Amino acid sequence: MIRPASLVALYPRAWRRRHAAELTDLVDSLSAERGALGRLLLGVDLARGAMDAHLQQRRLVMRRLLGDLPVRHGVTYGAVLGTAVAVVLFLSNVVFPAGPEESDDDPEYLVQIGIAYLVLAAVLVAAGAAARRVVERRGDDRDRVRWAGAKAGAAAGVVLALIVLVAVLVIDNAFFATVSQQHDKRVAFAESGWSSMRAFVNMQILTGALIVPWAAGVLGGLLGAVGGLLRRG
Amino acid sequence: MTVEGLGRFADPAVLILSSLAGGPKHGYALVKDVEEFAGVRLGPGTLYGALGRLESRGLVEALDAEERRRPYRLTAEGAAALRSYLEHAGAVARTGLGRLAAGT
Repeated sequence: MIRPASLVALYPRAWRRRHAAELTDLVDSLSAERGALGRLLLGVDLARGAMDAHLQQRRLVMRRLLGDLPVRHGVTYGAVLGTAVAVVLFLSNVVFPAGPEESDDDPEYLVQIGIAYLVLAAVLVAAGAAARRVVERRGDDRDRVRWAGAKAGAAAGVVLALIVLVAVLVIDNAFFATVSQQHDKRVAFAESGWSSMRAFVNMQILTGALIVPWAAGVLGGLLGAVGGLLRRG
Repeated sequence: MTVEGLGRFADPAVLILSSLAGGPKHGYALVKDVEEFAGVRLGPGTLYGALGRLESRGLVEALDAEERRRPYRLTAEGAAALRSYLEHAGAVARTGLGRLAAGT
């Protein structure tokens, strides 16, 4: 039988550093007075408490992050940019879909897509420059000013990626009959060996969800840092 | 600062504040006191979840640990929050009881 107090190990490390001794003492004292069912209930309550402590810690980190001015700036830029991209994706995939033989690799689309990426990059650079300007005006210390652009760019990149991923997930599922006619999707599906195109498309999106936000955060951070440096120059 | 917005920890929070109104207590003493005056068995996870929230809101404060036990005490803000909550609850209870009595 597991000793209920051993479940204190489930709490976050920072929490345990402060409270582990007193909580262990309490659980040991209560365990000694209770029967098997009582000890089981203590264990359940502790596990629930540990989960709550983890959630609390996450919330605290998020609050601290969002309390950071450059990050808040980046989140705003990312949200506006992401919404704009989501609208463009809806228009180009659902309202005005490409013909069944048209591919993203066709020269005219390559130019359009290239321009779109340049615009995204420019906005991320602008997010970095704007964040640096704001913290400079506020008179923050040098370290905070130095990192403002990168932080804003990274936050903008992550938020942009998350909004785009959600938009693609919604569009590809809600308008599956339309998007499943796209040339590139049909070719990729035919080469995949999968039997369900919807499952294949969703798997691609979910795989992207594991990588794209991180990559967008790093790239956004670099572009934001460039914006910060340009602002300094 | 009030005890509102504590979600599922609101009830344990009121019990803890009421217990600490009688003087500082460590975890075990709190559990036993609440069990005695309210008939509620607070689990250790629930107790520390509520204590953490009360401490971050400045309604209770931790004292120096005595070996493995750390006592907590009510702050002035905590006393005010508890008083305000209990006065409101008392008014609701009086109204409800009065209406029940009038209806029977």
